[in-house]
Amino acid sequence: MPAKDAEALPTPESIAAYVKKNAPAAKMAPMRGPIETVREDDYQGHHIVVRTSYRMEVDGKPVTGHVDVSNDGQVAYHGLPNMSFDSAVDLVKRLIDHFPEDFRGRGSSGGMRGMGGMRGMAGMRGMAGMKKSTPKKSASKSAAKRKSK
Amino acid sequence: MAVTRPNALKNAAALKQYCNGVNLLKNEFTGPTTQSLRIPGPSQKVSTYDLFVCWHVIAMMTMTPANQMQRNAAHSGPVFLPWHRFMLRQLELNLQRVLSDANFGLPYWDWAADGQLPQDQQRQSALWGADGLGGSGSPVKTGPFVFKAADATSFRVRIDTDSNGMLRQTNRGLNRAVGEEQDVPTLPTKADTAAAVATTPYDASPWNQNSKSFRNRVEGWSPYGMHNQVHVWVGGDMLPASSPNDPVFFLNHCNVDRVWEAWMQKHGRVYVPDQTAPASLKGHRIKDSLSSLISAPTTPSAVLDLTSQYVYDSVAV
Repeated sequence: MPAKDAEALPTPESIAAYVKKNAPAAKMAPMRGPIETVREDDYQGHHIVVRTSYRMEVDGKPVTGHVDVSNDGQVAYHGLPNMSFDSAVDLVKRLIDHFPEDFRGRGSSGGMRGMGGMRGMAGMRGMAGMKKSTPKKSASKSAAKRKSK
Repeated sequence: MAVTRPNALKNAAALKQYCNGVNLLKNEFTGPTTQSLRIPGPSQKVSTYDLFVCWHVIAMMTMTPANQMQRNAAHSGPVFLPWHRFMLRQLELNLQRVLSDANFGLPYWDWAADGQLPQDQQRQSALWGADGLGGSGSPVKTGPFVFKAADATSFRVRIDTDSNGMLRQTNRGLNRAVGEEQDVPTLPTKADTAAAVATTPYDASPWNQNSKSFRNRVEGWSPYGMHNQVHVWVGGDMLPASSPNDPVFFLNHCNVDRVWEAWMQKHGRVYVPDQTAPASLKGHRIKDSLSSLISAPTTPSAVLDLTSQYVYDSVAV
C-alpha cells in the first residue's frame, strides 16, 4: 500500500494505486434540467436571496455545464473557468467559438479555436482598473458588426 | 533539504529541464485508463502528466459542498491556493522522479515582470521562444511541445473538455494564442502583485467570487486580473478546465504560489475558514481534505508551510 503522506516520493505503483482508489469517488455528472443559481447578500439588516434559473440551448441542444452568477451580475461557467461574462448569451457565443466541434453542422461557426478568430468576442469581463486595457466592445456592437459583414 | 524554485525567465537550464521532465511524464503510463476515469470512448492508457489534467477537471467539477455552484474543490473559494500548492508539489515530486534529480525545483514564470514591458513586447518574452516553451499556434509549431502526428512520443493533447466541461478523449497538438485576446491584451503588472500582497484578510465571506480578500484578488475575480488574466492572455488550451494541458499552466501557478508565499511572509501563515466554520464551507475549512487523485490527500493546514520542502529564489513579486 502506498505511503499515506502526500509528501512521500511517488512511484508508478503508488500513482496507479491512488488513481484506482480515488477515481471512483470523482463525480463528473453534467447538470440535468434548468440550472439554478443563487445570489445572497445582506443589506440594512435584511437578507437578500435572488434565484435565477437558466435553460441554455444552441440549435435546440442543451448547454449543461455549471453556471454561476456573481452579485454584480457577471456570469461564470466551469467550461471556461477563467472568464466571466456580461450575460449568459455572451457566454454561449464564446462556447460556440471555443468549442466549434461541439456545434458543428449547425450555423456557420467553426475553426477559430484558440486562435485569432477569438479576438474581440463580445462580453467577456473587461479589465476594470487595468492601465493598459483596451476599450471593451459591447455585446450589441460586436453582434451588429458581425451582422453587417 | 529544501529545493529551490527558480525564475524561468532567468534560468534557461531549469526551464529546459522542466520541459524535458514534462515530456517524460507525458510518455509514462502507470496503469490508469480512460475507462477507469470514466472518460467516454475506447479505453486508452492515461499518462502521468495527463492524470494532472484529469485531476484539475475533476476538482473543477466537484462542487464543495455539492448543493451549490459558487465554490468547487479547487477554485472560487479559500482552497484555491492550498489545492494548487498541493498539485504543484505532486508535479514537482514526479518531475524529480523521472528526471532522477532530487534537487529539481519547479520553475515559476514571473509574469508581472513581463507585464512591465510595453504591450507589443510582452509576447516576445524568451519564455515563448523555441528554446523556451515554444510559441503560439493551432497547433504550436516551435519548441519542445510540437505535435508530430506520426511520432507517438511527440507532445500531444489526449484528454480535454467539451463545451459542458466534461472530460473527453482527443488526439491533437497543443493550441496557444499568446497575447492575441483583445479583451485581455496585457499581463498583470508589478503594481498588481504589490496590491495583492497588501490585501487582507486571506479570505472572507461570502467565500466565493464576490469576496473582498487576498485569495479572490490573486485568483483574479475581484478585481478581474492576476491568475485569471494570465490564463486568458495565453489563450488556446489555457482557457478550458483542462488548462494543465499547456505546461505553462504550472509555471503560472508556481508564480501564484510564490505570491501567496510572499503574502504569508508579510502577514503570517494564516488561513480561514477554520474548522468551526459551518458545513456550507465543507471542503474549504483548514483541516478538510483537499481533492486528490494520484497521491494521499492533504489539508490546507498541512501545506501552509512547506519551506522544509521547497523555497523560492526570491519572493520579491
